[in-house]
Amino acid sequence: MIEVIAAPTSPPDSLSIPEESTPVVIRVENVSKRYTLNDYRPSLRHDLKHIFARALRRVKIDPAQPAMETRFYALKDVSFSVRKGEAVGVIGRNGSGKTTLLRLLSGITRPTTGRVSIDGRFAALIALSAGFNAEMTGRKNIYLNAAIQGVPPPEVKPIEDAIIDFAEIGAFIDQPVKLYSSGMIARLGFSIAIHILPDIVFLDEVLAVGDEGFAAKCHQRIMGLHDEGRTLVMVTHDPDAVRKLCTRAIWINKGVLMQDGEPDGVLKAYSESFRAV
Amino acid sequence: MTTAIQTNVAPTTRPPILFRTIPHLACWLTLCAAMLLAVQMRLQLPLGDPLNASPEPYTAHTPALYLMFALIAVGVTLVAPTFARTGRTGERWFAPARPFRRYVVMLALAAAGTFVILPQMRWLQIAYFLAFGIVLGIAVIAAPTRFYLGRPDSDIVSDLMRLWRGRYLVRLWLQHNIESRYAQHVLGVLWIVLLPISTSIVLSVAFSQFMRVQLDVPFVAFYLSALIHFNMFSNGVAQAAVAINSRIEIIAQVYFPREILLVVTLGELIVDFTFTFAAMLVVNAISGIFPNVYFVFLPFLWLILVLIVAGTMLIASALSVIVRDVPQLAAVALQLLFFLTPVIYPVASLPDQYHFLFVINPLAPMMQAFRDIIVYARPPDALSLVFPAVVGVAALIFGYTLFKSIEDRMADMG
Repeated sequence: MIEVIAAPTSPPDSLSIPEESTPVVIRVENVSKRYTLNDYRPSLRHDLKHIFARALRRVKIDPAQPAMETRFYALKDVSFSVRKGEAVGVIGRNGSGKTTLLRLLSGITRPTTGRVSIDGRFAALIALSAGFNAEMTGRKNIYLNAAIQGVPPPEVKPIEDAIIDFAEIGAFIDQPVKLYSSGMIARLGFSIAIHILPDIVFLDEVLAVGDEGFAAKCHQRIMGLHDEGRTLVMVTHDPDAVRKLCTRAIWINKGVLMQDGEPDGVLKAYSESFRAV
Repeated sequence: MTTAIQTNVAPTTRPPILFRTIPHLACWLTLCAAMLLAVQMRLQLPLGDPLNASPEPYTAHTPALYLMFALIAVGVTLVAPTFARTGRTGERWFAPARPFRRYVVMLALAAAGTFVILPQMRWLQIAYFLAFGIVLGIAVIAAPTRFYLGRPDSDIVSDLMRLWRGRYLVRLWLQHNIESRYAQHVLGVLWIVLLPISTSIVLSVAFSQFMRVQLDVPFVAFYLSALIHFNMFSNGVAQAAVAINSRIEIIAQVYFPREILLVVTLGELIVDFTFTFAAMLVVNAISGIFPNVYFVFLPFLWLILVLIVAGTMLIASALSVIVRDVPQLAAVALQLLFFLTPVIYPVASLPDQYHFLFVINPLAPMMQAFRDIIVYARPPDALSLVFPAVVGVAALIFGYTLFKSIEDRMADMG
């Protein structure tokens, strides 16, 4: 593995980098996401206490102690845009804000400041088991999951068999999902997401699911999505995946966008940052 | 999900003519609703000099009044852009981003105009009108502007479009929830029917045998006709208070319009209600009360009830995101409301000094109307339903905008 990192290969020829003239489909402008720590008020009692304490000026700002409300920026003034047909890999260490970025892109949360705009239908594969109902059969869950991603049942009907085949679920498809192994749920989730064919796909770490055979199949399918001109934003720890699947890489560290450009260059800077520590 | 999360509307693009008429239409309707409520409340809650004792005829509902309101609403909206450019005061009251202030101007003009058209109008009546005008204005104009439109990128049209696109999701979820609920229990569907019936039998025994409440109709019929409708409200609020917290996992992982959770809950309530209503008809038939011609009014009453329930559900679930104690508080409040609403007792049995409780409770006239139709086979008092209808619409508008403004915080809660 070390050799692979040390000797980066150039992206395969199949990965075409879009022209300057292709339309921008994802626009992230000066986006910050702030979370407030040490301000956990689980009930009304705490709220009231907090309000009264403030009103009575009991909350003193003690320089020796940290402030009562510690603000923490998961993302800080991040801007970039993605053109149609690009495959962008987002890399960074744990807790660097990668997942927050994906959550903002897919509309789960909104930025504290700045704006995110997305032009086109998208599907998010942030947590593959999300949107599954454990009591329902796998088949019903296909429809449910697609509906959550905004695809109506009549459009799912013709691709139902393809989804089941790709997920390698077999006869289990008519069993409740609670009987599935985690790998089966993940395979089914992935299979649904890539078959409903959105224009834009957001992926989070999902390539790590399943055995090697399935992972290879997924890689192939993702390359296929890219060839069809779809846009991809992928969050991962795996430099290999970025190298293989992406036309561009974005490196985020502690919520700040460090580098944005050719995968090789960004990956090199990223791996050097580990050596520096 | 098919369009942009946040639409980029350039400030220069003007919305279509239909949307431009919405602001003054909303203001006009709010003024009319405030006047209707003021008249009705003044008749029912005669503070100061009682109306029936006054020598002059009480003429509040004249078409001219509502026409004048319309002219004021259109007029103020038309002159507002010009006035907004005339110095600080003009800007303060007529700025385009300040619809509530514009509405307050309309309200003041409407109050003055009422004196001109109806010189015999009392000050107290105008005070009622202004009070209701302000309260309604805050609920349907000020709050939505501040909560919803005050935020960047809020767009009611695309929000509603997204909800409409979620109808498949609603159907699938609803289908599953209902199937699984009825499949899991031995008695299945029977449970939703048996529960209210057995309670009503217990209570009817208690009330008729031990407490000796004298009624001209069978107590079971009297009680059930109000209870099934009150239960729809109280179950809705209780479930809405936990709807977001119990689904936090899915909320944190995928985006879908969160109000879909409440739409599904409401759908389940309506399905349950259909069963309960059918069971009530059977019980009524046994005690000699059959469906009558006034049942044609029921759909309108149900519509008002659903508006109130939906609005309250939205408010309760939005509040449950801000304050975690909402489920507990809601349980206490609902218990209290049950006894403040004439469900187990007739309105007439309320002592005079507590009559106002009946007047200020929007559910009370609803219960009375349901009972009139189902048990007494007489038409409901239409005027008393104005208040619940206005409360329902206002609660829905206020609740929806409050809910949508808190929606972003839901995913960060878990």
